[in-house]
Amino acid sequence: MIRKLIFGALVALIVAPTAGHAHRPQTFDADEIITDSTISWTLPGTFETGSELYEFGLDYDEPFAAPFEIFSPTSGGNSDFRPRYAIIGPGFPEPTAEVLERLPDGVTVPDGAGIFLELNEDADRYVFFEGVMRRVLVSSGTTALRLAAGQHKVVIWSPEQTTGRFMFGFGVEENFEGGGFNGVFENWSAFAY
Amino acid sequence: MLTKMLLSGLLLGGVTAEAHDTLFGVSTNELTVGAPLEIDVVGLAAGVHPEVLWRPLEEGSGLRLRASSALKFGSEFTLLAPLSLGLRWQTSSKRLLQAQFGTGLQWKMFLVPDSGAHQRIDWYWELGVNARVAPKQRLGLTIVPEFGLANITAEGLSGTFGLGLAARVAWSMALE
Repeated sequence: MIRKLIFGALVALIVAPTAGHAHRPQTFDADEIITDSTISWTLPGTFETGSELYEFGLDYDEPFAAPFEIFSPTSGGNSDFRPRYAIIGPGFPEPTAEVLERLPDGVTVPDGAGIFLELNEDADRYVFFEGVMRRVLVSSGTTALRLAAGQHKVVIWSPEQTTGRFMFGFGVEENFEGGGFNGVFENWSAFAY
Repeated sequence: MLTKMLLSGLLLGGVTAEAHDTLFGVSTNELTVGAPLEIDVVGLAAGVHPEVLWRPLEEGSGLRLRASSALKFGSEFTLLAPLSLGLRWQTSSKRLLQAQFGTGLQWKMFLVPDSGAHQRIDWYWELGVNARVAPKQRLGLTIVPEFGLANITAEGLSGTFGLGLAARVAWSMALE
């Protein structure tokens, strides 16, 4: 009888239902990097020379609030890397001359647009364990932003041409429909190690 | 209790099997111990994953109950799995080559520097083959896909998702 009970308990545990929490993986070389601005995404990249510029667009029909952060994977001595990002679009503060100076070459700010600038300079950055791919990442810190309706541009660069790897994460809704995990398996080395 | 049984079985199993008929109330004829080396290829880590298998049904049955612990070291974290419980089905132990298939749950603790212990429950699968290398001993290779099910936090369990894949080289010995 005891043996039957043990079997029953194990089977019940194994078939227990579950749920998930994760960003949808994507890469910067996709034809359309962000197909839905309302869902949660993660994008990995590497600054091989430090002079690269990564960018993608976001388009909202109505104001939308979402968390943003940029991570540095700690593997391979990458934990000191501090990539920066900016979000350029309507509703953000008009950039000062100092902010404009900090943007990388070639980045322009359309008339009427403002900037949110993340310099990733906090002395103590929090360590994040990403359980889907078992990565340990150092974060710039999660910042919740309210994005006005309209088109925004996110740009990511490396200060002083330092080199390293990053993962940019943002968004709210968890959605993996339509091959949401394909990006992981097709770009395994970018998401796993 | 299970952890004690596991550790005692691994440390003393070879000795007590000769001297006693039972181990913690279980006939030693029904037990097999294993000392696998394991490498995680998702979140690179390597270490040991000792296990105890119990045959709950009649002799000749291929069904086993499995209890195990693991300790693995990686460049980003140390992975401690205090306890896994599962089922394993294996073909006849009388054959030179033996196939095995298993599934179960594993309690994991990812020990991350400057971030603490991240605990969760994973659902694992096993698909392996082994060969008899001595009358009671076998050497095998097992592939272990894993899926994160639930995080264990101070507030209790919360649903999660996670991937895992391990390769295991295992030596095992039947305590008959």
